[in-house]
Amino acid sequence: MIREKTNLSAFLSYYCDTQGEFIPGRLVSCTPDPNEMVGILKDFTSTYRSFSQEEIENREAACVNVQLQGRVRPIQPGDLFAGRMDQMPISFTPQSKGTGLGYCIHPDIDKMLISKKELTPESGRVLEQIMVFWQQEGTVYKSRRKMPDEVKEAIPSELYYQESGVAFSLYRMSGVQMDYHKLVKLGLPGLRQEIAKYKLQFAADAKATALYSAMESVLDSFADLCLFYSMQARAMAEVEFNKDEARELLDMSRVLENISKKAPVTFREGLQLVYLYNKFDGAKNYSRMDDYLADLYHDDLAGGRIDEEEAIRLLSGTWRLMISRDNRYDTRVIIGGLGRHNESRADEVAMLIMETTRRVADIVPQLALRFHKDQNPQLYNKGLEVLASGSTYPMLYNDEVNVHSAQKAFEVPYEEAIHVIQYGCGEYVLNHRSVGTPSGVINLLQALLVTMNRGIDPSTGKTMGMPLERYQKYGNFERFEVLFSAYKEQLEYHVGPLALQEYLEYVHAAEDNAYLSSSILMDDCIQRGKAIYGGGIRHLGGTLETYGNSNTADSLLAIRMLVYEQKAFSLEYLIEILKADFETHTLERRMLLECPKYGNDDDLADQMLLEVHNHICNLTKKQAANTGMDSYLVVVINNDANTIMGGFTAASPDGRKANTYLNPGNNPSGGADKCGVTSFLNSMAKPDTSIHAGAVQNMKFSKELLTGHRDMFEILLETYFENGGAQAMLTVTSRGELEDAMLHPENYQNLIVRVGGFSERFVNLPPETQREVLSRTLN
Amino acid sequence: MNAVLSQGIFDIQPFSLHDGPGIRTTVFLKGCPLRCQWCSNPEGLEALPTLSYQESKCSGCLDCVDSCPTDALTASEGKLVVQHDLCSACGACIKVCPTGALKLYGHQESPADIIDRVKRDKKYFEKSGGGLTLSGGEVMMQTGFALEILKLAKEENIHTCIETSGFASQEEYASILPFVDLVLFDYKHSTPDEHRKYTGVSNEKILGNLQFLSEQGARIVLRLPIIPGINDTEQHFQAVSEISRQYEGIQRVEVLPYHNWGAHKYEEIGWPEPALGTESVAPETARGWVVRLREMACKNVASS
Repeated sequence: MIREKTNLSAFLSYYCDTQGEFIPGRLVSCTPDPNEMVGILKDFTSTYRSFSQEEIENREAACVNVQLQGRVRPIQPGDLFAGRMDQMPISFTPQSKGTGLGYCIHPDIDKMLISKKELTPESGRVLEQIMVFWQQEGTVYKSRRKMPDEVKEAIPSELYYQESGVAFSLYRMSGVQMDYHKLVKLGLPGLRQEIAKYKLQFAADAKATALYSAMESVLDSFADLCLFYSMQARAMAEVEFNKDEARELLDMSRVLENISKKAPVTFREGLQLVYLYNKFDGAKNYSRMDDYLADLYHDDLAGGRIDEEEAIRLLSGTWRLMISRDNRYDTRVIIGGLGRHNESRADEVAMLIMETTRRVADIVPQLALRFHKDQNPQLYNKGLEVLASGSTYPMLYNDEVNVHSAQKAFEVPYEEAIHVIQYGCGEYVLNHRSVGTPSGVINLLQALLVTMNRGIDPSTGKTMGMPLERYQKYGNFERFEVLFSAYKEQLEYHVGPLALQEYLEYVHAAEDNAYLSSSILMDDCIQRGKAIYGGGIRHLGGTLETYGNSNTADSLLAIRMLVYEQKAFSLEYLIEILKADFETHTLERRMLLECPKYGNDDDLADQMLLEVHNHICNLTKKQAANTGMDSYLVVVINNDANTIMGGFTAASPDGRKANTYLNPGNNPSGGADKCGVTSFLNSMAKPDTSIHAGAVQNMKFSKELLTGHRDMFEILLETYFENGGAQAMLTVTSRGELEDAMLHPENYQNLIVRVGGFSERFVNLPPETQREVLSRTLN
Repeated sequence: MNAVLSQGIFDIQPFSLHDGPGIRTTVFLKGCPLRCQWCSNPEGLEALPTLSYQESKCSGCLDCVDSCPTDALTASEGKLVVQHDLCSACGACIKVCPTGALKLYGHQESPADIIDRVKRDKKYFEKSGGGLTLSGGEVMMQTGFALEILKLAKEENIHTCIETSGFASQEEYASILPFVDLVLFDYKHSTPDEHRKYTGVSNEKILGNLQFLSEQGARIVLRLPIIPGINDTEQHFQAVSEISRQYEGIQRVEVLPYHNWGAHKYEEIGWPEPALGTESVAPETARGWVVRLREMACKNVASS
C-alpha cells in the first residue's frame, strides 16, 4: 500500500513506515492506549503553543490535524461507512459533552484515560501539566474570564443539573446545520476551488487570507482522514475471511478514496462524505438529507447502479452507526418541506428515509418530516404509517405555520424562511444560514417562587434573583397585578444579562477560534472572508431555553383566583403551604389543583398561559437590539432539563409537589389535561409561534387509535395543524408502557379510546380496570 | 327528600368515537326511568345529585362528618361510614374533602354554557361528520332541557344525536325530533317479562316509540347492549333481526358488548352491585354475535 504523494502529513505518516507504506497493524489498531493518548495530548498542546504568536486560524488548522490521531477508531464488522471517531480528552471541539466552545477538556477525562493508575509516572506528570495549561487556555475559561460583572451577578451558575437557580449559562456551540448540499455537489475539489477564488479576491485582507489558507489546510486534513479510513478498510479487507464482508470493506475503501479527491458521484459516496465530515467537524445534526442526496440517488437509479432496497440498506447502515455513535439530543435528519432543490427527487429519498426508520426504529436519528399543503401527500401518509408501526418518528412540522413564524421571529423574508429546520431538541434555525445555540436556560417557575418569597429561594433559603431593593416598590403584593409585575421584572433582570452573555460567548469564541470546518459550509463565510462567529454567518441568532412555562401560568392563575379573587387564603399562608410541601394542607392543595389548568381548552387557564408565553417571548426577542445578534429568541424544547430542574424547584401554587418535574416543552403539566384530546390539542395550538424559535409538543396516542381509528386520528392532527399547530412529536404508546401507565395514569389520559355511552375518567377506574383498559388500548 | 327534581347533567365528554358518527362531544343528562342491571353509569340514574365515595382516596380526616347536616356521614372506629339514602345532596362535604374521595354527580349547567363548551370542537365535528350527542341517564327525562340544548346546537350547525332508551311519550319524541339528526335507540330485550325483569320496565312503549320514530322519518341506529346469560339468546337475536328489517328508519344496528368498567361505581354510590355473573365480553365473542345476527339477516350490523 503505497501512497502516491510522497510528502505525507504528520497524521498519515504516523501509520506509515519510513518508505511511506501504510502499516496495516497500525491502521487497524488505531485506538491509542492511555499513555499514547497522553503523548498525543502533549503534541496537541505543544502544537497549540507553537502558534501562540500566530493567527488563530492557522493554530486551529494545525490542532485539528494533530488531534486526528487521537480521534480515529476502527471500522467495526458490519459497518457500511467509516466514521467512528471519538473526542479526545482534551481537544478542539465546538460542541462537547458538558461545556465546550472550542478548546476544551472533556468532563469524563478521567474515565477516558482509564484512571491515572494505567499511566506511567512520566505520563501522569505530563498530563498534570497539560491540565493546568488547559484550565487556563480552554475557550470556555477564556470566555468566563471575560464575562462582565453584570452577567456574572445575574447568572451566577452553570450548574442547572446540580442546584436551584432562576437562570443558568450554557457554554457550547450547538446546532450548526451545515450546507451538505454544497458539500455533496462540490466535493473537496469544488470547495477548494471556491476557496481559492475568494482568496484571490481578498488577497489584501490578511485575516481573510489566513482564514482561507486555514480552510484549505482543514480540507487537506479531511482528505487525509478519508485516505486513512480507506487504507484501514483495505487492510481489514485483506484479512477478512468472509467474502461478503471483505467485498463490503473494499467498496468502502474505494468510496473513501474517491471522495478524498473527487466530488461524490454515487449515493453511497454522498452519504459517506456527509457522515464523515459531520464527525470530523463535530456537528451533530444532518440537515435536509433528502435534499442533498436527491440527485445522487436519481443518477444512480437512472444508471442502474442502485435500487430502493440497496438505498435503504445503505441508509440503514448509516442509521446503525448513528445509533452506535450519535447522541439522542441531536442527530436530526430533516425531510420534506419547501425550499428543496428538486422536490420530486427529494421526495423519493424522503420515502426511503422513512422506510429506513420504520425498519430500524430507535431513538436516533431524530427524523423530522416537514410538510406543506402542496406537498406529495404520500410523504405525510408514510409518516403516519411509520408512527403507527411503533416508531417515535417522524416528528411532524407544519410548513404553513413554521415558515410564516420564521419570517416574523427571525425577521427575514419568505425566501430565507423556507429554509427553516430544526436541530437538537427542537430549536429552529435557517439551514446553513443561521446559528442559534442556546447559551442559557431560565426556569420561569423558579422566577415566580423567588418573587413570591421576595428574593429568597424557597429551596435553599438563600437570596436569589433580582436585588432585594427592587421589591420595595411592590409593597406587600396587595393586588395580583402587583405580584405579576414583580415576576415580570424578575425575568427582565435575568434576560438582559442572558442575551449579553449569549452575544459575548460568540464574540469570545470568535476571538479564540474560526471553527474552520463549519465556516466552510455556512453562509456567508467564504463569500465574506470571515469565520462563522466573526462576521461570516448570515444570521447570528441566539436562543434561550425556558422551562416550567405551563406550571408558571397555572400557578399564577391559582394565585389570582384563590388568594386575590376568592380570598381563600393569604399569599403568606400560601407560601407556608408550599414550604410544607402541602403536608397537612391536603384540602388547600386540592383547591390549588382544581383551579383551571392549561391544556383543557379553558379560557382562563389558556389566557394566562398566553400572557406568560407572550411576555417571556417578547422580552427575549427585543434583547437582540441591545447586542450584535440578529435575533435572540425563546425556545420551549424537549430534553430532560425539565425533570432535572424540577428536581431543584420547590412546591408550586399549581399544586405541584416539591422537586418533581416541570412540564416538558409546550405541554401542559402532567395530569392537567383532563378533558380529552381535542381540548388538549386546542390548547396546544394557541401560543403564538411567531415570537420564538421553536416549541415542542409531545403527544401520546395509543396504537388502538392509530390503527383502529386511523381516520379520526388524521382528523385530529389535521385540525390541530389548521388551528395553528406548528409541530407534533407523537409517541405511540405500546404494551411495554403498561407499567408506567399504571404508575402514572395522569400521563396517559389522552390515550383512551372510549366505549359507547360510558362516562368515566381513566384515573377514577380501580387499578384492575385500568390495567384492563390499558391492555386493550396499548395493544 | 327534596321535592324539587334537580337533574341537570353529570358529565361532558369530548372526543367520543362511539356515541354516534365521527368525533363527538357527549353530554350526559341526569336521571333515568329504567334501572338496567348492567348500567355502566349508575351515578347518572337518580334525578337528584348522587353522592359518590371512593374509599381508596379517603385520608381518614373525617372533616366531612362535621359538615354533614344529616346523618349520611358518620364516623365509626375512626373510619367514615356513608349512608347514601340519608344524603340530601347539599354538597357541603365535597367542599371540605381534601382528597376528592367524596364527589357529587349531577349539577345544573345552562344550555348556553353547555353549547359554549361543545362548540369548541366544531372543527373536529365538521371534518369527521361528528357533533353533539346527548346521553345519560335518559335524555327524554328532561325533554325541555334537551330541546334547549339541541336548538342551540342547530343554530351552530352542529350535527346532533340523542341516545335514548325509548321510554318516553310520543309527544316528547315528536317535540324533539326536528332538532335531532340521528337517534341512537337502545333496545335491551324482546320479551316484555324479561325486559321488565332486567330493566324495571316493559318494552311495549319502547317498541311503540321505535315504530313512531321510524314513521316520522327519523334516522335511527339500533343499539343492542348484549350481556352474556341475559340477552345473548337466539330468541332476542331473532327478534332484533326482524325489527331491523321491519323499520325503515333503522340505518344500522350496533352491538354493545357488555363491559364491567363502570361496575366500581355501584359501591361508590352505595348501591348493591348487580350479580350478572359475567366479565367484560371478549372481542371474539362480540364478533361471534355479529356473525350470528348477520346469519339471521339482521340489517347492517356491526360491533361498537
